[in-house]
Amino acid sequence: MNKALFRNNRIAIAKIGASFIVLVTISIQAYSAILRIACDFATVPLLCALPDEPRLYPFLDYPMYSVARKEGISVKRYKLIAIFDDGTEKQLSAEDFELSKYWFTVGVLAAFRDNNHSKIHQYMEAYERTGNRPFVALRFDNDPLLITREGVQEGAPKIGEIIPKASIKE
Amino acid sequence: MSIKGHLSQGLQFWNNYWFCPAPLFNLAMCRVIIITFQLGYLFVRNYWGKMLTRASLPAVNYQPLPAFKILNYLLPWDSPPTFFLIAVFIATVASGILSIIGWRTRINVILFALGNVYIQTYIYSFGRVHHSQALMLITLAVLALSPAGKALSVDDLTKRLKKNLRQRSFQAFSLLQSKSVFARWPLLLIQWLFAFIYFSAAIHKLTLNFGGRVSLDWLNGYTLQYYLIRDGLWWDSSLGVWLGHQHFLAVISSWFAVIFEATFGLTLFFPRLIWVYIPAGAMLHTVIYMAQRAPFFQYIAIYAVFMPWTAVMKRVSNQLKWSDESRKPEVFYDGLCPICIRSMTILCYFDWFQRIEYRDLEVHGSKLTARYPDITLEDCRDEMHLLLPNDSVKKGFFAFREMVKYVPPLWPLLAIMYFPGADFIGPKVYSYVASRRQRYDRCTFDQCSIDFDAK
Repeated sequence: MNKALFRNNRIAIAKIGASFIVLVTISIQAYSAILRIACDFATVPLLCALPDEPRLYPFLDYPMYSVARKEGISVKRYKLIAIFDDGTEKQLSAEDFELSKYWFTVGVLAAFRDNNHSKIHQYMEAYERTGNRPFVALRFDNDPLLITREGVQEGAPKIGEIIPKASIKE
Repeated sequence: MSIKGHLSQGLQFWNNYWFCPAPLFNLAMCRVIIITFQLGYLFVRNYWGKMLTRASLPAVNYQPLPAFKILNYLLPWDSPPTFFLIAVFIATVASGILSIIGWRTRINVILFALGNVYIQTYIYSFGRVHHSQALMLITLAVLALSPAGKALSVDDLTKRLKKNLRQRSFQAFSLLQSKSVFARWPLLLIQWLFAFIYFSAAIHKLTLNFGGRVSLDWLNGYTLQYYLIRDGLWWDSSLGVWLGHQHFLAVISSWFAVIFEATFGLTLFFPRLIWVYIPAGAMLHTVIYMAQRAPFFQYIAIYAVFMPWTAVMKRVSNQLKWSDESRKPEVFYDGLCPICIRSMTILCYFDWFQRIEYRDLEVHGSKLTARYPDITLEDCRDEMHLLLPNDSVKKGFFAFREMVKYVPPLWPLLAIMYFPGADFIGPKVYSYVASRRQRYDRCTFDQCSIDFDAK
């Protein structure tokens, strides 16, 4: 009798504990994934004041790839060109920095796109440390693709300004 | 109805929904699948290397996430030293392996979950937070708090073995029948999280960048073409670039993705829809990976929480009963021998499709000897006998080998049992073990002791 009672009490307490976990988990996920979107529509002081990602990690919202694009949008194809002392040019790639394609794109190319001098300086140091041929200047070009009703077409290339090596400072 | 009545009804509904007795087998299968996946993922994605790379970065890049700060709270450092990171990785891998086989399952799943959260939040404390691992970490934490080790585990098997040896008898059982009131809530909770996550993805596509206005612009095809070409170029995915050139396909795919994400929650109310949504989701994440290299394979592994594993096993089991071999093989074992009780318990533990009939020699031996006069009870006590559906009889090692064929989870053992020379060595090993086994005395009214500990 006592054993059965103890067992029932234990189960009841465990159910309360599990219910608490369920409620807390669902509430945080619902808040971070869905309710915070209300802040895009209107300011809801209480909701918008609470922490958002990544401070609630691993409870996140999922806005990846959510920005809509319209007809005529261009896909940027960045190229980083090294210019050598004899005037020859070479398109730099991930291998030149001993990076993966991903880190080359989101690191090196993004640094030039955002004009982030400090990062550009660090990456160029890394480039020279790997024993590559020294350059005298760099150029950051964009060779875009246009997505139109008629299909995907080559856009007009944009040749960037020449960046002398001496001007790349930390 | 009074407020008290409504409250009582609400609690009743809550209890029935989250704590309705459910098969432990479903939860255990999820434990095995999800932890096996995550363990492999740690190696395939080179988490060891990722941690050490970050450990060598300048301190200026280190911005610990709150979850990482909490885990580090009691430790005497702000940024963990390399030796500690290595220790965490090794401990995580070890606890992962032990969680899969189910040894000290509760503590090992907790350690595995903590280890993964520690590793992942450490890596994300260097600037970039990605989404693919978030649900996996929550899932591991939920599994750690659940009775996921109460089936399909060394813990459970050991418990059953001890019980049978204490009772000095083996009763055939089905692992699929074990139920618990705590076996349902963890799976349901993860299903709800899936619904929120997909809904979040859908609603962002339809609202985010229009100042709070709902818009169908995302579905115009150009959007998906843009992302496919951009990611295809980033990652050298020719499939991504090719798909990005197909406008009509992009329009169809956009609608498919948004409808899938927005309505995934229906699976919570109409569980039969999983047979549409789970394959569709697996296909979606596979194509996204192939075209855009966004690795969400975790989701495919975590889809295990939707699968009614027990019902599937029972269905397969029923279909096997109606196959040509409608009769099951019958194994005649010595019910007074501890080793035989142990072997039958282990065999039965993995006999999920219930394809074998277990016959205690002391009870059913006469049936066998009546049908096969040249077989005596003494022969059967010397070695196990297996009566096959085609009326042939296998003995000892060969009986055991034949039985393993009927138990799919034990099929890996066949590689050893059919290894060249096994026909010669196997019977010798079997005879050696059989000749040294103990036997209980036959139980009589005044001989059998009562095991008070078992009460």
